[in-house]
Amino acid sequence: MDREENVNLGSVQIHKKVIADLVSSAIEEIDGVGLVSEDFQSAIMDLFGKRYYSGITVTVDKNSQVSIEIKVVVRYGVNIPEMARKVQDTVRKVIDKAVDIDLKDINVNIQGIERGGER
Amino acid sequence: MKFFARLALLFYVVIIIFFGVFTILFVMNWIDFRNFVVIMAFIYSDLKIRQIIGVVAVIVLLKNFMFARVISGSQQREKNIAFDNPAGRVSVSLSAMEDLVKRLIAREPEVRDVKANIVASRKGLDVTARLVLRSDVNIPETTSRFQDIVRTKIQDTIGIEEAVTVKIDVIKIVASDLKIRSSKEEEILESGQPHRDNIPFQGYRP
Repeated sequence: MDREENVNLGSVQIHKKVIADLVSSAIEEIDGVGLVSEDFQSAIMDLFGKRYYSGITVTVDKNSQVSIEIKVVVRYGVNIPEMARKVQDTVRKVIDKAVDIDLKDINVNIQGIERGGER
Repeated sequence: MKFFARLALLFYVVIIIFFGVFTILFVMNWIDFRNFVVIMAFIYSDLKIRQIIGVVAVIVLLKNFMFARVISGSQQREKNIAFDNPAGRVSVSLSAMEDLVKRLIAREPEVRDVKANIVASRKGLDVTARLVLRSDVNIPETTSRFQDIVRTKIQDTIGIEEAVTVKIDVIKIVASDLKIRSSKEEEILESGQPHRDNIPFQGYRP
């Protein structure tokens, strides 16, 4: 008679900050787009040595599905839908590669048009 | 969230009414100053009452912070244009679009200054640009060109198919810099005086 043995190796928990870090790195790679600048809260957190991205919000729902909201500033002259799609694709690729999570939505919020560049 | 916004409104209304009524009663001498001092002294001397009032104050401050976030958050949400991609929603803040319109128009040589305002409605986007133009400009032709530029750029940039209405208000017309300079030069030529800037060592005293 076969005897099945289950060995529990423990659980792996991924903090939201890790996902935010990955998103931030992904955004840095994209030309023509950047995260919104630091707000008061992130400046305070920075003083205490904690990294906080004001432009990235990671939420996990009841079904453990992850939604990411990214607030960005784009360079003047770029096509916003194309840029938003590029951001969504790049972030999804980076997240899928690094962590195996159930990614539901990547919401991109364009907060401003960056000054400088093309006039 | 609407519930929280209403609660916040009620909260502030009650607080403002309380302080308003109290101040009016106080300045009309309908509240006896001595009673007020007695109550304050009683609160100050009783540790339990002080603790309770302290806790209430902390709760009020936290609620205030929470309500401020809720109200500003709901206002931010209203000022967005949103469209859905397969990977998720894309929202563009109207202030970003206003910035785009400003930059688009400001680069035109006929424009001295520009202010832009965008309102998103069910019918589409209503863009209002308030311009300060330089003189010697054909206003109907120029404004019509600006309307076309803005409409095309917005539709290309955010890829929306809804109607974009561009309203242009010319609020001021100023003399162009070239005109001002040439009129000054004419004045100098007429007076026969050389330009002060060309005199070396001006203001020199032996």
